[in-house]
Order: sequence, then C-alpha cells, then structure tokens
Amino acid sequence: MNDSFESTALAMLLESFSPLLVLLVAAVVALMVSAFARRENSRLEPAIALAGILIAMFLGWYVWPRAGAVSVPAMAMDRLALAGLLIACVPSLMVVLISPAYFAARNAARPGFYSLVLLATFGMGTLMACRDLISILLALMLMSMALYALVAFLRGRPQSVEGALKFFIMSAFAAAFYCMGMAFIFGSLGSTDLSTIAHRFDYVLSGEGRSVFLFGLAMVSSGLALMVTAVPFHAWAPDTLDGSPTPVALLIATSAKAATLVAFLRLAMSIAAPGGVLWHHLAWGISAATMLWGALASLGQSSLKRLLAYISISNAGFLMMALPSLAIAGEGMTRALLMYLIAYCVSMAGAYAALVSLGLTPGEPVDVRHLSGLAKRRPWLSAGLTLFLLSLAGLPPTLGFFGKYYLIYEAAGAGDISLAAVAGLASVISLVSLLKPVSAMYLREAVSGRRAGSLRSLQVHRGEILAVMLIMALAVVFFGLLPGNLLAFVYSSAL
Amino acid sequence: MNALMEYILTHLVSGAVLLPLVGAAIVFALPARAARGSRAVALAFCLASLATSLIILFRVQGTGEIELIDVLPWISSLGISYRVGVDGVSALMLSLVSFTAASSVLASWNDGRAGGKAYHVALLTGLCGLTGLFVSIDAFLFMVFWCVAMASFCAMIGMGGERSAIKAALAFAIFAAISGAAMFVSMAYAAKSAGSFDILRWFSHRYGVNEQIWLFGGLALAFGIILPLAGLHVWLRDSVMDSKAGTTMMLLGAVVKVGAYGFFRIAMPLAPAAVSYFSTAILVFAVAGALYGAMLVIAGRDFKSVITAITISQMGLVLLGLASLQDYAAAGAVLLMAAHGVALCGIVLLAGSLSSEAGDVAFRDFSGLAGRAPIAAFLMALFSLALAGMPGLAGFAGESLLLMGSFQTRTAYSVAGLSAAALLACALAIKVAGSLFGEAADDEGRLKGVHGWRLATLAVIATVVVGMGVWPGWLAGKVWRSSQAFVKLSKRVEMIVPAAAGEAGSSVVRSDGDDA
Repeated sequence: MNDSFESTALAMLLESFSPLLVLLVAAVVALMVSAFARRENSRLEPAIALAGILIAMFLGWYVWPRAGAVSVPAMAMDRLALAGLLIACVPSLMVVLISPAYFAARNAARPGFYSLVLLATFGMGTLMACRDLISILLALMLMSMALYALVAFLRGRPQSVEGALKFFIMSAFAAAFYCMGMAFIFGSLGSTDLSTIAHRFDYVLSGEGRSVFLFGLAMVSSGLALMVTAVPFHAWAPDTLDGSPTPVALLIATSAKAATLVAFLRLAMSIAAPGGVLWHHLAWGISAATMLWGALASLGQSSLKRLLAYISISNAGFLMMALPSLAIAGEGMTRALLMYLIAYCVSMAGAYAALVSLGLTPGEPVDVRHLSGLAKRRPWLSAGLTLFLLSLAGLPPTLGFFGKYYLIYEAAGAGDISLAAVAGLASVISLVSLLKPVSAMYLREAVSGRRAGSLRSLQVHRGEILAVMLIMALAVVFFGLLPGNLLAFVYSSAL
Repeated sequence: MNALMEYILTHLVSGAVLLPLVGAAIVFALPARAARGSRAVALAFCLASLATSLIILFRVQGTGEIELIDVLPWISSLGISYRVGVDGVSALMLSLVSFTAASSVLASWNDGRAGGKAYHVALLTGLCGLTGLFVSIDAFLFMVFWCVAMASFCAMIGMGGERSAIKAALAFAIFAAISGAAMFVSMAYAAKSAGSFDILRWFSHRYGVNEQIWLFGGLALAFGIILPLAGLHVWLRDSVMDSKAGTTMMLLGAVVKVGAYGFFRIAMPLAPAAVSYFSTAILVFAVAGALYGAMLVIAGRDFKSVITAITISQMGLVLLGLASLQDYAAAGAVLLMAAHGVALCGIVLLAGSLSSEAGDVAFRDFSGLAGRAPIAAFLMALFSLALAGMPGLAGFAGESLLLMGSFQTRTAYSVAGLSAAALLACALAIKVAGSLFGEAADDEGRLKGVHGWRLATLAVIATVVVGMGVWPGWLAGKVWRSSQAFVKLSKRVEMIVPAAAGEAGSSVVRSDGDDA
C-alpha cells in the first residue's frame, strides 16, 4: 500500500522483537569471540553475555508497556511473553555471573559456554512468544539443543555425560510424542494454530475426530510436561540436575521450566474453556501428583543438589496449579503463575549461587550432613542459603511466601479449594525436607573427617557470587515484604 | 511536645510490635563473645515491651471495639494492609506474652548450654511474632506474624542442647506447618470470598453454611494443634521435655494461648453456623482435654510433664468456656488464660532457681522443701494453688466465671469441666503437698534456696498472682465487652435455606440463639 505505513509496521515489529534479537546477536558475537580468543578463560565472553542479557532485559522493560501491538503469524511478543522473558533472564544473568568462578575453581573454563547460555535464553524467549504448535516445537528444540550441550559441559565427569544423555533421550521421546500429537491434532481439526484449536474444539469433540484429537492433545501435553518435569515425566530431572554443572542446573530448573510453562499456559488457555471438566480434572491430577511426589521424594534425599532437584519438581506442581482453573479465572491464575515464577526463580537462583559457593561438583554426593556446623564457619553463606531455602519452603517474610500464598489465594478464589489444600500439604512436606539442611547448618556440630575437609577445600570465594546472593537476598526480602510493585507488573502482564 | 506524645500514642501498638524486633537486631549485632550482654539486652527489651503493653492495657477502654488502630497501606491491590489495633482481650494477651518473655529470659539466665546470643535473638523475634499476631486485624499480617513466631520457637526448641532437641524441633515444625497450611488455605478462601483481608469485615460477610463448615474445620485444625486439643498435643510434650526452662515457659505460658486466641478472634466469630454444627464435637474435645490433662498430672513424675499436663487441662477448660457461648464463660476463659500464664511463669522460675539443672527436676526432688527452704516452699504452694484455682489467687476468678457461665448454657459439659478442675486441684495438691512436706531427699545439696534477685522477681510474680486473685474486677472490666461481642458474633446462627419453589435466589434467616 504505502511505504511509510509498512516501514512503521516493520519498525514496530523490530522493536517488539528487539530483546530476542539482541540475545541472538550477543550469542553469535560471544561465539566468535570465544573462537578467536587467545586464552581459554577469556573474560570477554562472559562480559558480552552479561551485556547482552542486560540489554535484552532493558529493551524488554522498555518495550513492555506497549507490547502486543504487532504480531507475525505463529508468534506474538505480547506482555506475557515479555514478562516471561524478563523473568527467565534473571536466572540466566545469574548463571553468567556465577559461572566464571565455578569453572575457574575447577580449571575447566572452555570457550562456548556463554554463547550456549545466550542461545538457550533466546530459545526460551522465543518459546514464550509462540502461538502455534509448530513454532512451539521449534523454539523448544532451540532451547533444549543448547541445554544438552550445557549439561555435558564438564565432559570429563561421567555423571555429567549420564545426565546429558538421559536429558537428551527423554527430550527426544518428548519431541517425538509432541510431533505425533501435533500431527493428530492437525489431522482432526486442520490447524496447528492455538486460537484455531480453541475455536474448533467443540466442533471436533462432537464429531468423528474426537478420539484422534484428544489423543493428539494428550501427546502434545505430555511433550511439554516433560520439560516442565511434571509427574510422571519427571524421572530425568534429578539425574540431569545432579550431573550438570551447578549453574546449568539452575538454568534448567528455573528459566527452562518457566519458558515451557508459559508455552503450556498458552496451550492450556486455548483448550481449558472448551475442555471443561475433562481438562480441569486432568490438570488437577498432574499438578497435585507433581507437588506431592516432588515433596515426598525430596524427604529421602541426602544430597543437597538432588534435594533441590526434587524441590524443583514439587515447585513445578505448584506452578501448574494455575492450569486447571484457567477457564474460570484465567487472568487471576496467570497473574498468580507469573508471581510464583518470579518468586521461584529468584529463590532458586540464590540457592544455587550458594551451592556454587559451597563448591559442589557435578554428581558429587554431598550429604546434607556435611553442612553440619557450617553456620559457625561461614555465617553469611549459611544465612543466605537458609533464607533461600525458607523462601522455597514458603515462609514469610520472603517472596516465596507471597508467591505461594497468592497462588493459593487465587486457586481458592477460583473454587479449587481441594487443590489449595493439596498445595498446603505439599508445602508442609517440602518444608520438612528443606529444614534438614537448615537444622544441619545451625543446630548440629561439625562432623570431622575427610568429607568435611573436601567440602571446605573447593569453596569459591568470589565477589560475583557474593553479589548474586546479596541481590537475590535483597529481592527475596524486599519484595516479600512489599510485593506491591511486582503485583502491579504481574497484573498488567496477564492476558 | 504534645505532637510528639500524640504521635507516640497513635503508634503505640506498632511500637509494641517493633520493640522486640529492634532488640533482636541489637542482640544480633553484639559481638559473638557477649553472651552475657545478650541476655541483659534481651531482658531490657522484654521489660520495655512489657511496659509498653501495660500502657496499652491501661489505655484500652474496654468498649468491645478495636481501639488504638494503626493502619498503613501495604498491598492494596489485594486488600491487604498493615492494620493493627487492640481490644481488651488482645491487650491482656499482649501483656501476658511480654511478661512471659521477660520471665523466660530470667529463667534461662544462667543456662549457658547452647548459644546464648542466637537463643535471645530467637526469643525476641518470637516475642515480636506473638505481639504482632495478637494485635493484627488483617489476616495476612496475622499469618506473617504467626510464621515469624513459630519459626522462632522452632529455633528455640532446637537450641535445647540435647540431641533429641533437634528431633523435637523438627516435630514442632511439622505440627506448626500443618497448622499453618490449614490456616493459610482457609484464610485465603475466606479473604477471597469476602474480598478483603480485614478480619473485622469477614464477620459481616455472609459465608454459606457449607463454606463455614469447611472454613471452621480448617481453622479449628490450625488453632487446635496450637491450643493443643487432646490428641494433637504430642508436639507440646516433646518440645517441652527437651527444651530450656525459658523455652518451656514461652511454649506453655504464651504460645498455646495463640490457639485459644485464634478460636476467640477468628474461627468462632467467622463461622457461627459451623460453631453450632460442630458444637458437640468442640465441647467433647474441650472436656476431654481438661480431664485428660488432670489425669496426666496424677501420672506425671517430673516437673515438666506435670506443668505440661496442667496446661493441657487448663486450655481444655478455656476452650469449654469459649464454646459455651456465654458472656461470663468467655470472659472467664480469657482471664483463666492470663492467670495460668502468670502462675506458670512463677512456678517454672521457682523450680529453675531451686534446681541447679534448670528445670529438669522430678517432683520428689522437692521433698522436704518446707523444712529447708520455707520461703521457696511457700511460693511453690502459692503458685500451685493459683494454678489449681484457689479462691483469692489468680486462677479463681477466671475458672469460677467460666464454670458458672458454661453451667447456664452447657450444663452437662460444665459439670464435667468442674470435675476436671476439681481433679486437677486434688492432683496438684497431693503432688505438691506430698513433696513439700515429705521426707527430705538424700542428696541434701541438690536443692538451693531462693535468694537475691530471683526472690525479688518471684515476689513480684507472687504479688501479681495475689493481685489478680483479690482484685480481678479491673481485668474483667477490660475484657468484658470484648467477650460479649465475641459471644454475640459466634452465636448469630445464619442459615441459608434453599429457596422454596417459585422464589428466586436464596433467603437468609437469622435467629439469635435460645437465650439472652
């Protein structure tokens, strides 16, 4: 039509996708730099990654108020996507900050790590903007490809390789399920677009394609559920999280989960209303089972990393509490989901920073017992770790409490009082397992011996880790006490 | 100057909440070596907060409304605000917990078993939590303070020094977490349904009968664990057994009151229909607790198990008073709580000063006390009799009001409660008299006399005990209107009857109970 209109539209499009583009460019630049760097532990690559993520976050923040004006087919950078990107960028930023110290302590710095982190983050951002089953699959692949490589980054350790292989095989199965489900859905209603699926849902359900469609839906959901670590698709998570380098475990447990959940939320929103009771009960069951199973299994864990892995599974269940009642209270549940995501990501980032500072290596079975008496030796680290664990358990005055409470509040308001009760039960159980390390640090005397020595020898004292823990601790306490601003952000981000 | 006074007076309640927190921060900032300094600072702040709460108690008019309200906007989009205020009952509870906290610092004065500094930080934050939850009229704030208090007491129990203390702390954490989860879910539902976290507004919101039954069920579980109801009292026994004298005092003197206060302030006024629905169950639980506790006193050998049993028994009576839905009974229940707390502080402090092992004493260790340390024996008798509800001492006013009141509405249960009280009195008399005047134990040197500042403190407590006994009118006046308001709210039975055919919607039928 006329040029100026088209160029304005293009500019708006570029603007709304600018955070993602920055991440992509930064990833490529970081890769080039690492390829041509003279030293293996070049400081330039993390610096580029840091700058890239910060700029992406700034742009996301800048674009957020007028987001959603333009979209391309199958993708839309609406406020939900941008809010999700901002949330997912926080753990990625923390990973970039804590990784140099982590790899330096093990003499394992190798080029390419930060570029992979950026690529994974790019994949997450894309995933959260997708509105079509095909684009969701592509973004999911983009994200997990980078994550496979990251999990196996310390390739000398058998646990890392094992974790990566499990992750890879399970993801491959999930992708296969997903593709098959997509084909079934396309076959039954002729589209892979989420809004079209919502539109034709009732029509398909009453027709001949009913069973084919429902089967396809189940397959697609299970493909997404695997990445979210929903029970019964969670089995890969503890081994992978335990075996991967600690910063990578943070990325998988938080950002990747957040991104997949937002995609899942979009899918759920389009099928929740027509799905009715069927969807409600299915999502209810998965959410309740994930919460309870994660919490119960965490009771028996003696290794700190595995404990956190199971806690992350349990938290996936909490996050999925938003899904069953979407049809009744879609907006409220989306808000609650975003709020919980923020609380969860921040607390987990802090906890993993503390783990890095403790010097845990992949797959090393560091027992909770070995934390005994840590409060005397490293009081600030213990205080920080305690704060983050309590936030994960949902005790005030932390952000974790508010996130959990807001979720329960919205779920109860939507009439899902039974799910809220299950959430209460699961929090009690996870509190018990999270209190174990805390009581070990504060109430038990130090054990003497080889294990305690090895824990001390790999300690990483670095300014960046301290900074990460400090920032996260301040966020946990400040927003725990005054969540007003976050709430306003979440309110206007929900669709 | 006037403006300053004005400012202080309007924020008096917030000051009472903040004071212990400031104290905790100061103790935390003390150097690690200053264990002795920490207890002095802790004592100073407990006394300061006692003074503040006494000023509040004096200033409260006792109108039955919430007074001295202090409101700050907090999370306005959810209808959550920082909203504190007191009525006669909460002011009395406030004084009780700061009194208990001050006594508990003294009770563990020479007990250096586990880190003094951390212990006192936990004690002060626990006091802050308790103070806060007694003055909150916003449910969210209530929950925050509730968690602060429970986490602090969990830490205090864990610092008992024994190996089993950590287990006891974990058990306490589990019970507190179950209680908390039940409370959070119920309150979330109540708030979402009423559209506000302001507790006072919940009372004017009409919850459906089924809603009320579920809400009350959740809240009763939450507060019943803390009360503790007979059967849910396991945590109390374990926590008390392994903890220091100061922790024991806080748990028995102050923490269990939270359970009764929860029933009084939130659970029962919120769900009158559920109160009438569950009436028999609550009364049976209450009376069973009273009787069971009294029997545990008979069976108890060591000092701690006996005072725990007394507490279970008396808290059963308190619940009976509340569930009787009668003005006198409710006021009596509140007074009984206060009296029990004060007398308990006295007896734990006394036992701690008598024994070198800070409260880990069997009752027979006191044998022959009357001959060796007559003053101590007198005080022991005084506090026991006050706990047993002897006329002229603290427990009498509350217990007699409670039983007289409940006799009017729940006669059978009142008689059972009376027999429980009588059983408790007999058991206590036998136990104490038998040990005080019995033959002296072999190890002469084990029991020290009571001297110096301990004697002075005990004299003060004894004066309070006697004062509350001979002149209960003042306190009763403070709590009387609040109790009336509580009974009025808990007794309004709202029934939403299904609409008859032809009528649209549902109609609300109100009746005001069976007697005035």
